[in-house]
Amino acid sequence: MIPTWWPVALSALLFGIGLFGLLSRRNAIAILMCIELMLNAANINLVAFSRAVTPQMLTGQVFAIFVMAIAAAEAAVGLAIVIALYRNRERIVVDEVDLLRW
Amino acid sequence: MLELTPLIPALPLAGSALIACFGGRLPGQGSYPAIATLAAGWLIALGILGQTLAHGAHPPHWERSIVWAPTGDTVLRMGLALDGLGLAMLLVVTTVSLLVHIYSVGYMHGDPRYPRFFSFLQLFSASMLMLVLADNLLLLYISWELVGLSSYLLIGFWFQKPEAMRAAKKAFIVTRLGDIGLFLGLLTLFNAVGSVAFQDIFAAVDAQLATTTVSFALPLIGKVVWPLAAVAAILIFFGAMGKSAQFPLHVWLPDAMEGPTPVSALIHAATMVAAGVYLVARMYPVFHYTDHGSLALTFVAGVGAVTALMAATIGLVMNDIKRVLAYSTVSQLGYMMMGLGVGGYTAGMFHLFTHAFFKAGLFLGSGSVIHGTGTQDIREMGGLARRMPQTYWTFVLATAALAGIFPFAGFWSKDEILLDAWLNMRWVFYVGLAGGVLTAFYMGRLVIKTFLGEPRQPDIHAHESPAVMTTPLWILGFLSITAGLINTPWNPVFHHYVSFAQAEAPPFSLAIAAAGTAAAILGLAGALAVYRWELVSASTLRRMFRPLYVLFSNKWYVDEILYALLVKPLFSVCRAAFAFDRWIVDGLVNLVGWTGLVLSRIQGWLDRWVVDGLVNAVGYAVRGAGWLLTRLQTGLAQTNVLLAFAGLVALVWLLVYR
Amino acid sequence: MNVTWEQAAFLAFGALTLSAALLVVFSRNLFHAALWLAATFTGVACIYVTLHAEFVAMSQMIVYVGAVAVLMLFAVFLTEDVVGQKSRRLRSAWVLALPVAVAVCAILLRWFSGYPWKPPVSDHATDTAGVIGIAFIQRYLFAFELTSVILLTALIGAILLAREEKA
Repeated sequence: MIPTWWPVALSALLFGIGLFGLLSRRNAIAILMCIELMLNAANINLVAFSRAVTPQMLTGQVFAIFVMAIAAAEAAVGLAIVIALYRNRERIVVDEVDLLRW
Repeated sequence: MLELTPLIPALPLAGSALIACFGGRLPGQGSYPAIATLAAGWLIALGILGQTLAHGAHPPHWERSIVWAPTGDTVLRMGLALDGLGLAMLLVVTTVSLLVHIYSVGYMHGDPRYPRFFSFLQLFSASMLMLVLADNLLLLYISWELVGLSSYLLIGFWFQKPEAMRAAKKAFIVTRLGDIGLFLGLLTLFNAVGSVAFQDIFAAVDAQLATTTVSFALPLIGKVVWPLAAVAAILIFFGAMGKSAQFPLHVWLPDAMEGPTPVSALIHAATMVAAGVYLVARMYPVFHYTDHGSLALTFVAGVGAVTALMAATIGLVMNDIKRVLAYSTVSQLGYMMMGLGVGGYTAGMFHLFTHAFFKAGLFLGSGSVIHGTGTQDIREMGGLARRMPQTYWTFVLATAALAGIFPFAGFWSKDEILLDAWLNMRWVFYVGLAGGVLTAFYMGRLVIKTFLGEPRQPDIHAHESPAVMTTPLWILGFLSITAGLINTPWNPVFHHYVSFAQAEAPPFSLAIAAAGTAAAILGLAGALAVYRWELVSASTLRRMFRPLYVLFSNKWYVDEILYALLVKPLFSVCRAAFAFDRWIVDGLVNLVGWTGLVLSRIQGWLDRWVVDGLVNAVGYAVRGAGWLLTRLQTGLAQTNVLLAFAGLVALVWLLVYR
Repeated sequence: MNVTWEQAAFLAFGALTLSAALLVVFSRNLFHAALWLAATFTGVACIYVTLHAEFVAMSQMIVYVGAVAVLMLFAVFLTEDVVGQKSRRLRSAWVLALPVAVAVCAILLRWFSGYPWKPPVSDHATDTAGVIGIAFIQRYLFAFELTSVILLTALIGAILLAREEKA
């Protein structure tokens, strides 16, 4: 039996790594990858909770499937944005995308 | 017919408004509708008279009132009432007013403000008719002020003349002096009775007004205790003194002759100036609260006697035809007051009645003369009898009436006054007799200097006036003969209509009548002797009685005395008030203002440097903080997320570990 | 300390996953990062298996490894000069990002891993695919359909955003 806190701890670490990448990487595609890491961390949590809280109904696993669908959609749209950005700027360095600047 | 009474004042009122709005476009520039309204009123008044005569000459009793101002427990009613006194006044006012309207068509012909004149005349007529029909003191007071206003407007009708403007102001202000008294009297009665309706007031006289006493201090006399009725009556009489030009408030009337002559005839001879007499008659129960010897009536008689005598003496020496007539009017008004004062209620009103016709005739005649000659100075006239025969003859008829020659109208009325005076207040009788001599003298002088002899001023080419002017003259001349016949000793019709407490007319006295007639003849003979036959030249008389002449021609210095007693103190008070206002009040105001200014300066400084400073400091702080924060707003999504998570960490740290 | 085979597998796959994730974040070459991303996804899928979530593990393999990771690779191919990659990996803000990430990680570890979870039961559902499928078409039907709409919308949106502008 794998205690519940093991996957939760794994999830936390994976989330931290993803977060660091999200905050640090300059390349837009890399940032998207990090977001996917964070989403995976969340999914690990959901599956772990499912096993601990609703072992018969598998609610957490259902949620994980939904998150995957959303993540796929997010990845598609995000990459489309990156492509559009690239087409406009020839670069996809997020540092330089500062239209929201004051 | 009685139910048509409200139309009598309503029609001229509507006419006034109509002419004021559409004057120039109405037929005859507004004069025809104006005449029509008064003709209608005149016919209604005649109809009422006819009805009552047909029913045994009982005076009408008609009244209609509406709730006007329900104020708490006191409900003021407004309404009209008609009785014998009112009917007599209605006849006088409508008749004279109608004739003056007709006369004005000729007299005012070509005046640029012709419609306005008729509008004013209509306003006056309506106010005057309302005054005589009022069933309460308040409406009477309102009408009283309205006739005063009309009088002001009409005296100042030719306002481009400075004298006319001054005269109008003088008339208004002097009569207002009296009106203060009237208003105070009104308030006194209202306070005591709780109503302004005549019948309520009269009902309260014996029970309340005569028994309640008030004590107050009078100048020169000291502390007095008078019945409330006497106080109210004398206050009201002040109003009458102003309006009816009684000494010492008579000074406005001669000056009012600056107005157009029809106005002088209507307002300042026949009707408005008689309103004071009417007022005393109307309020007679208050004046007459105990008996003939009542305080108020004695006061009335005294004032009337002084006025009658003094005005007559001034009339002796005036050279302006209208001013002679004006002083004559003042004198005759004094006669009426005398009559009322001595208890001759009917006599006073009867003299008002007859005087209205012959004095209007005289004024219209003088207007005709002025119209024909272009001057008002009798020294420039003379010999007009041949040039203006119709004017001359009607003038003579009216003069005879005024002088009191039998059987003209003035004889009958004056005789009644003398009779009442003889019976009740002997000294007034002698004053009346002396006044009669003087009246006859100055009227004789006026007729002789104006119409007889040779023309003294060859430049004046007199001409007779048009028929529209002479016709009213003839009518008034006719009335000068006949008006007195309605109250002869053997047929006292007027007495049936106008009498106080159904008193019987005093028995006719041949001796009194003879004395009056003798006085008149004496006066006329004197005038003939001096001015026609020149037994004694006028200049010799002037030298002989130099002090008197100076006194008379300076009008007894009443103007000057009034100026010294009233106007100058008033000005002094005004100056003092002005100085007070300027130095004390303005000083205070300026001090307040200056203080405010200084405070404002301080406040402004504080505002600028402290408040604004704080505000600016806040602003700068915010701007600085903002500048700092803008460093954060890199526009980079990653930085935002970084901050969001930093915030999350900070929040958790704060919530959990603190 | 008795470590079951199950637990040992979890720890091994967990270490693999974390290592791959770290390489995703720190790879200088984006192409390599994308490949390490696929490795991470695979590791996570293995973790799912150890947690007896077979259907989710399968979906993970198909959706993430098969679709998302490949999509990333294509995106990298489209936008990056993969061979001559010279640009800096990280923003200078990584100095700030590191403590924040560590702190968040610590919070999660402290408050989620440290939470006294119920111990997992043994009699859990075995036919996970069947249970999840029935849940989708019964209890979560509306959410399921809504998800399909979201996917469709994302599809259209992605096409619109990425397509060549007509000059």
